[in-house]
Amino acid sequence: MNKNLLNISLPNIPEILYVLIFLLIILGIFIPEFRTIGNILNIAQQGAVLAIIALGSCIITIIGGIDLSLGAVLSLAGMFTALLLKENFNLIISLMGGIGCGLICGLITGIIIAYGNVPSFVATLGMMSMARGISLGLFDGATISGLPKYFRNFANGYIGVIPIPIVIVLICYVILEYLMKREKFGIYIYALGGNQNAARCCGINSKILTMIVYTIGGLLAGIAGIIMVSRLNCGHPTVGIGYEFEAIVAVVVGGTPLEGGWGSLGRTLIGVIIIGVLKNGLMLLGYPSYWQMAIIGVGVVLALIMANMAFIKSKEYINLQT
Amino acid sequence: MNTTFLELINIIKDFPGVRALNNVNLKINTGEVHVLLGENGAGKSTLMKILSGVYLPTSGKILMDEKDIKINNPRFAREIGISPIFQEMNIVPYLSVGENIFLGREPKNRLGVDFNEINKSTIRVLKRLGMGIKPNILVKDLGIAQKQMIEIARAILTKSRLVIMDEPTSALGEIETKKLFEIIRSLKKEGIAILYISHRLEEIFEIGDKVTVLRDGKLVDTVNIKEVTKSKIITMMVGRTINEIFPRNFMTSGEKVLQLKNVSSRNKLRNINLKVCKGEIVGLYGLVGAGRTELAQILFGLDSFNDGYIEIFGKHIEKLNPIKCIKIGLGLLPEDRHKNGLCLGLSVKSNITKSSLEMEFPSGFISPIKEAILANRYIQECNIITPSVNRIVEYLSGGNQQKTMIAQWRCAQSNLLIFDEPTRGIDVGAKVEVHQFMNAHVNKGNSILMISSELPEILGMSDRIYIMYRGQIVKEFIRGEANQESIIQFAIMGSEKYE
Repeated sequence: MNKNLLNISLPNIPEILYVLIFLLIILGIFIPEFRTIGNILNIAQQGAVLAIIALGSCIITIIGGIDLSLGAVLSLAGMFTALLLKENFNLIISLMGGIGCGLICGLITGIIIAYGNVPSFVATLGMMSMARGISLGLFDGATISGLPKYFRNFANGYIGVIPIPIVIVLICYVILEYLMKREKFGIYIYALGGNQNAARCCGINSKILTMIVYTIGGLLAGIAGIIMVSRLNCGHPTVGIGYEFEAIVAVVVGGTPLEGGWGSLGRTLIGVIIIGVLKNGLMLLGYPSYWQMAIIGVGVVLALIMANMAFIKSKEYINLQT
Repeated sequence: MNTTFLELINIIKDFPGVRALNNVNLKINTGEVHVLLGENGAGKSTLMKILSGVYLPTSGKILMDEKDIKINNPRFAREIGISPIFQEMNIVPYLSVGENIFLGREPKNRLGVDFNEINKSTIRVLKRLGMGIKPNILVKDLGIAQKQMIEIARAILTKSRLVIMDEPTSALGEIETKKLFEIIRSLKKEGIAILYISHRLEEIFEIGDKVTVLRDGKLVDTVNIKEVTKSKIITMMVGRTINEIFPRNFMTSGEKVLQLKNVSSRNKLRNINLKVCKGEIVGLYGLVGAGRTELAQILFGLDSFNDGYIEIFGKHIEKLNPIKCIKIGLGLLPEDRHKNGLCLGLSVKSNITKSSLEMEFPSGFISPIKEAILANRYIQECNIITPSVNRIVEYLSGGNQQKTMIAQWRCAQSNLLIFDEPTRGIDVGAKVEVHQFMNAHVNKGNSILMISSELPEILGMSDRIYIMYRGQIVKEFIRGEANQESIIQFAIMGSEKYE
């Protein structure tokens, strides 16, 4: 009843936003350091890499897939960029190299899934292993450091008052949101995830579409990898480990069901922010990062149980109606 | 004015072990409502799937405008103007009404998809269908009738020539049905043909022009609706003699083992009253969607009921679950054995003992020798033909798979068995064996609730017969009272009303 009232008075605001606002208020009240502008920028900067990955993960989840390779592809793309820079290639070529590397990884995954009829879980698990192996092998498992100074400014610089990584996130978001909301592409993605049969009967080429979606995921992982390298000022072969899971968590916290059919990029970004804020808050409270992981894990599971219960309720409601 | 534009000639469709369609001929004219009738399993849906490009016929020709065509995928079917509306609808839940209608054919403008155009056209076409829904509502929030309209709207927009409707009114109320008929009439006026599959005779006489009856995969006849009566159609549908032997010895029945009083479930069943006594086989007949399987699911605790009283073996039971059911002596032989009954990848032995492990091995450790002996006993009792107890069940024939299911419940010492379509998909020899087993089972003082779509089986095996219609039990027959016509009547119309 109460919830209905809320929905009527504030129609288009996703519930997940309330969670975020609640978190911000609580943390803001109890931790003075949390309220500083420096800290907020810090959260944003740290969250940028995850945000970009999560956008890719979101559209992959909408078509009913899952991508476990994004973190490894991120590392690989980063290593590749670092290697090119170290070999004194010019900046543009190095960046293109990194992005292209991610794109090719995504394309390969997409082809395996769409044309090889391999379940996405298995295909991306394979890609994860491959990408991780190559990124370790590229420089014998060592980090590539001593990158040119101007490259470091790339991720640590500002445009006006906004950190460059945030600008990149926003650009990616706007482009993808346009594709999802204004182009056939988006409609077809929802169709593919919601009812593959219907999509096929209406003349949608599901194979090419699947391939494109995973390619976009790889491309975004490439971009994220470059930001990561620039932030750390070195190419680290295992730095992306775990990002794929955090991305999935962000997607799911944003309300996208893992079976696909529905999802929203905006909510996914809110999911990313929630994770970032939680981590930051726990860090400021003095919890070591190991405990942060545990606490976030518990929180995510609780959130999902609650979301699931709400989902079942809404299903029963629909049943009653028909 | 009505010319034949689509013709099926000698269509044969074989599935492994079954001939689903045998030399079927069908002519469809422009602007007619062609009704397709037949019992469950008569081949209606196979025919529909051939027309909509889901199956390719094994042999036979399809002519469209006198040209030979091959409908080899659903997309092609749509391109040549055949729009099927299945019960499993081709709609995407999280897209809007407009997006669903225009899926695959979105109009474009400079900024991408032209949503204005979609909305305008959607409103226009929905208005024509007499629907006032907004084009930007998500389809998941619509009722079934409205979802159907989306498919019809899509058919109109793609300039379909033939719309196939599979039981379109099965989920609709009276008003919605009326509306649907109006729409069908206006489609007819535009020269669109409709292949209408339904079991409801009243409807057929209201809306149909021609009726084609299928029986056991064969064409019985195509006639003009105006020239036939309901009883004629029923005889055409049934028209089968009981030629199988049903080895039934009848006993006097004992006390009640199962009793249902006013059981209702949220979306399917209404006020079910039913009883099964010791030593009885009770038949449950009804058309697809009448709620028979749902009832079986509730009895076995797979689904919940929200109202009513259930008593099993004299004990009132408030909540059922499969574990409890097996313990008190219930067994379910589901219709889809592969999906819901057997563990196909396991051996015959494991399948037989799978629901009695706790009873036979209370310590939790399974003795392989004892298990094999146990399994062997029931393999012999049920006459399962298998090279060894370790044979994987998947490689047995349909009949032996069903016998394995029976052995499983014998092993679990279940007294009341629920058979859902006991002989579907098994050959004639095994059919008789299954019937013999059912007979032996009740002769030992046990009971059976049998759901079946085969009239001879229902008539030959049951002591009493309940007829279900739209989630209700509409009639109870004692053995000898019923015949094929009267059963079909109640199953199709829900009452005895008859011209």
